Amino acid sequence: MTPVVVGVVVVLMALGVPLAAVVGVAALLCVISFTSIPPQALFQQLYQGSEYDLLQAVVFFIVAGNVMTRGSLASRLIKVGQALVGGFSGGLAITSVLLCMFFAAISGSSPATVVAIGTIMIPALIKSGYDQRFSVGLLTCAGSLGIMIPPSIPMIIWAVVVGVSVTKQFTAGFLPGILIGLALMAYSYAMARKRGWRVSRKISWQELIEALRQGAWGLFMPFLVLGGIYSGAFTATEAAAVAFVYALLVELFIHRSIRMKDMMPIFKESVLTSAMLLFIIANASVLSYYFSVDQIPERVADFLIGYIDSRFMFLILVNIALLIMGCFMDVVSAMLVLGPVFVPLLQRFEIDFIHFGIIMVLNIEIGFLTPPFGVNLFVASGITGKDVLEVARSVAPYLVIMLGMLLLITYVPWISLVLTRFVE
Amino acid sequence: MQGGVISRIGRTLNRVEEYVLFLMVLQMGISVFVQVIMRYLFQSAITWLDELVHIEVVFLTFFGASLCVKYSAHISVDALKKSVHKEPYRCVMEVLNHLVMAAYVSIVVCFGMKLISAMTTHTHYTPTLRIPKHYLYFVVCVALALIGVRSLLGVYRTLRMARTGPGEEVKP
Repeated sequence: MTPVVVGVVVVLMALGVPLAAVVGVAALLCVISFTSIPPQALFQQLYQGSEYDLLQAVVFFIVAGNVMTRGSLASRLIKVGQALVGGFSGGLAITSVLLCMFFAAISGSSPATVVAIGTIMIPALIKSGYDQRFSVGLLTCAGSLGIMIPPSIPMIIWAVVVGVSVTKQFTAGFLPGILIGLALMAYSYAMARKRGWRVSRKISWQELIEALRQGAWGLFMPFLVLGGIYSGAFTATEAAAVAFVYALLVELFIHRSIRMKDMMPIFKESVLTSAMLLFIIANASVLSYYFSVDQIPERVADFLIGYIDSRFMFLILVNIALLIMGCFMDVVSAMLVLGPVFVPLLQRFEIDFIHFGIIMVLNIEIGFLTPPFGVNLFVASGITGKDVLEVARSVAPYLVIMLGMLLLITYVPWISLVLTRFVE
Repeated sequence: MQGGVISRIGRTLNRVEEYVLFLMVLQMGISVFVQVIMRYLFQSAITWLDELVHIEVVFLTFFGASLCVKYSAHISVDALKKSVHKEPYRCVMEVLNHLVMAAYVSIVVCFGMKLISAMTTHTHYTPTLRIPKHYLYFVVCVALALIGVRSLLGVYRTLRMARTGPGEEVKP
């Protein structure tokens, strides 16, 4: 029966059946043919799979991200960035990376970061004489930091799947995010020196103060959202709701960049994105319920442990597997289905769940940058009007950097874990 | 024109569903935000509001998923579909996708209805709002059935487009 189930899943997936349904059908087949669980329990599990309170945070961060990308919060932040980091080599490129990092600290999504910062910065870079390919690639790649620097939607999902503390998982993302940002900035600086890109427009104090005044509401946001989480003032879910309401109030009443009639498209898009994710999560929870009943993860672990003898070996295999899977399916869904399978393996190889979460997130970032599921590529292609493959080519040099960072972060758990000791 | 009436009703229902979901998400965000304010200003929280939002996420998941069918927002592995260029094959794949989705949700709805009928004899209630749990299950069944209906409408639309050729789009 096992080959039949696997065969059905592969065929359905190849035919292009929605992933949620593929996962659901797989769970259905497994439960009916391998166990004596009454099928009604499946329905109950599907219901419970969508019930986690943390999932509210996913919805709220998606709405907040959409509100901020439609509104003027991002463009005001960009003005501040341009005023602060002015005239030295690669200044504007470095500003772009910094802005992506800053925006990442208020949004939990990577495509939203590309839209918010890329829409303005890619044309700005090209206008100041930067190479077109360099600019498109840089922003597409730096935008992926959106999910590494907290808050982060995939980290929330990972926390739900394996049951770790979201705050800890968030904290673990800071240092890797900053390191990747620094690597991108160093690359920009080196390229700018080599090619002689230089913008030497001095910005006056008055301009800076004006930019700061205009951007104040946006600048305050990470202090509110992250500060709230870390001071213990509110939970991750509440922080998401605060971000949602804050962004909406600021854009509607203070910046007046969104009008009531813009609300419908923003919310429609948010409802679709969140429901698509939540529906996969609910279906995946049925599959992982089956996994736990039939002890599939333990069996996989028993099988694999005979072939893999060290932690390093395991981690490198996981990375390769995830990179390959990223070419066939969306890595967030892969994480949902595979997460429960990884748990016993992680325990046997004594790998920290939180560290592994960071490895997953970095793999998702790389998945965002490679076809065919690279959301960032689609988004960048949408905002620049270039072909997806052309965007993919311009991202290539940055992928090398990302893969290097993946190795570093995989083999030096300290980078991810050192800060988590300070949060309970 | 009976078809006209039906499609008009369908369109109205679509609009209503979209607006309800939209207002629900807005209200969910505001509710959680209000809870934070309540906790700091009045040192108390509205317990039933937490539970309401908790239930609403479930509704959002399943009704939203049915909207995703309408706007083809469900993600899938479409490498093969994109590489198939012959219209009839693509059409067959499209129809199969919708049929699998419809078949899957109808099976789940059957299980759900079984569970509900078993639960009417010994009812569970939600902790604070005291809503019978099987009412909630029933709503989810309705949403799942809606996914099925929309998938079947998708089949109809695909076949119609295949016959008349692309051009006029029929909205469910």
